Amino acid sequence: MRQAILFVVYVLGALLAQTTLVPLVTRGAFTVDLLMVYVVYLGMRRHTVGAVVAAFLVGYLQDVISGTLYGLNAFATTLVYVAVYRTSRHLWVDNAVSQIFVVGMADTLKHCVVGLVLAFTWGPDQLGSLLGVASWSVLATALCSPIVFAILQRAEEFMTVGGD
Amino acid sequence: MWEFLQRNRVGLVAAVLMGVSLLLLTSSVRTYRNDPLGYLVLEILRPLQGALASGWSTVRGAWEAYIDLVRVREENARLRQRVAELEHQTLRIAEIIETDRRLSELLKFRTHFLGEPQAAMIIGRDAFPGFGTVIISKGEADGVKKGMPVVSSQGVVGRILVASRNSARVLLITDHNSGVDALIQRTRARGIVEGSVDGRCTMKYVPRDEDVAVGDRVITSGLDGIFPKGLLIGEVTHVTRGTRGLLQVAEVRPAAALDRLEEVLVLSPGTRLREETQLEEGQVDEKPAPPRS
Repeated sequence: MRQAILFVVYVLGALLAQTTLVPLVTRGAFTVDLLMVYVVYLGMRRHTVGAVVAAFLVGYLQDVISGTLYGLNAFATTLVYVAVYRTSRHLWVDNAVSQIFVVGMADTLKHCVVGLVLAFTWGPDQLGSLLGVASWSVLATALCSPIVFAILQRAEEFMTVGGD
Repeated sequence: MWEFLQRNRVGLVAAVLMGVSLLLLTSSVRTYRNDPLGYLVLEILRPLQGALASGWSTVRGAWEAYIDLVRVREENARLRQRVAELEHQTLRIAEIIETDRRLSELLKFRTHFLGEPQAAMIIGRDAFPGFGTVIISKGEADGVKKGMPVVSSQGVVGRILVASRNSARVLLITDHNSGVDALIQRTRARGIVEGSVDGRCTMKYVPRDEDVAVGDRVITSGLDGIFPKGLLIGEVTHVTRGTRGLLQVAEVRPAAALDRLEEVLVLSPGTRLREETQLEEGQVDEKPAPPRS
């Protein structure tokens, strides 16, 4: 239940930030994929069916408010979740640098998946420019990830203490 | 089997969800449909997005107003500097125009003389009060010699007291050592215009019975061998005629503004005014003096 509340609050907040605040501040130069950071967080900390569903829902929510293709982000976030989940079972990734690295790789993977799908649907000529635009967003997302991870961790701790 | 499913449930659920995603993707590629969840999310986000956008707009407006203020301040400083520069430039231009006017006047005045008068700038003044001398920018190298008369377009200035190679000192007519043989233009009454320590000029040695009145113009007589005849010295401002004695004294205000002079003409010996100038300018009245009473 606590996880569900955290999911709803975080996802709404992240959607709000991604659709309003970040574009206003950066004037559209790049965006910070806070939902992606959450998926990586789940992949690293929550190895449950609920977490997979949450990753899928995060992607699906992105699909319903951006773009014209349903399932694109849902597919990508689920794939990223699985990749992070598999990685974190073999590697210890729990410091700021490794978080930045993992989130960067995960966001890159997501953009590659999205790019490939778009290349299949729209044609390959859009792939290069998409990855070029995405590179700054990947960097910004990766650099923000330690802060987001800390916030999520604090929120979880707070809810646990509050629940006790 | 159950154990396998239990062990790989996360991966299996993920695979199913990815499959669902691909199905959704495939169907949405063909036709875009409006999802009720999207509608709900948009409705939930709308007031928050509106508030955030409005708040950001306020913050940005305040920030831009501040930036504009800073820019205005910088521009103000820049414009002040520009105004100062332009004022300085205007001053320089006004100075150039004024100098041009004076020099043109001097040049015009120079043509009134037969000979080659030397134009010179006043580059210094006497260091002690009570002495009426100035230093000019021409000296012996330019042909300036001791005793040469110095005039301005307004009237007589003085004569060369001492000349070095490249400059010379001029004894002004207001100096107490100066004396210029002069005439009252109207009546041809003769006298000597002398300076004084207080910087005034007086016309002395005028016979008591001569007609001298306030406002009379005083000109050079040419009899001292220094100044050409007919140059304006000044104007009578006061006449002192005692009850006794043979002479009268007239105070003369110099025509040349000696304390504000900037350029002068140095006349060579033997220089004289052109005759037509004397007549046109009325600097010398050629009419015979009225008979003395």
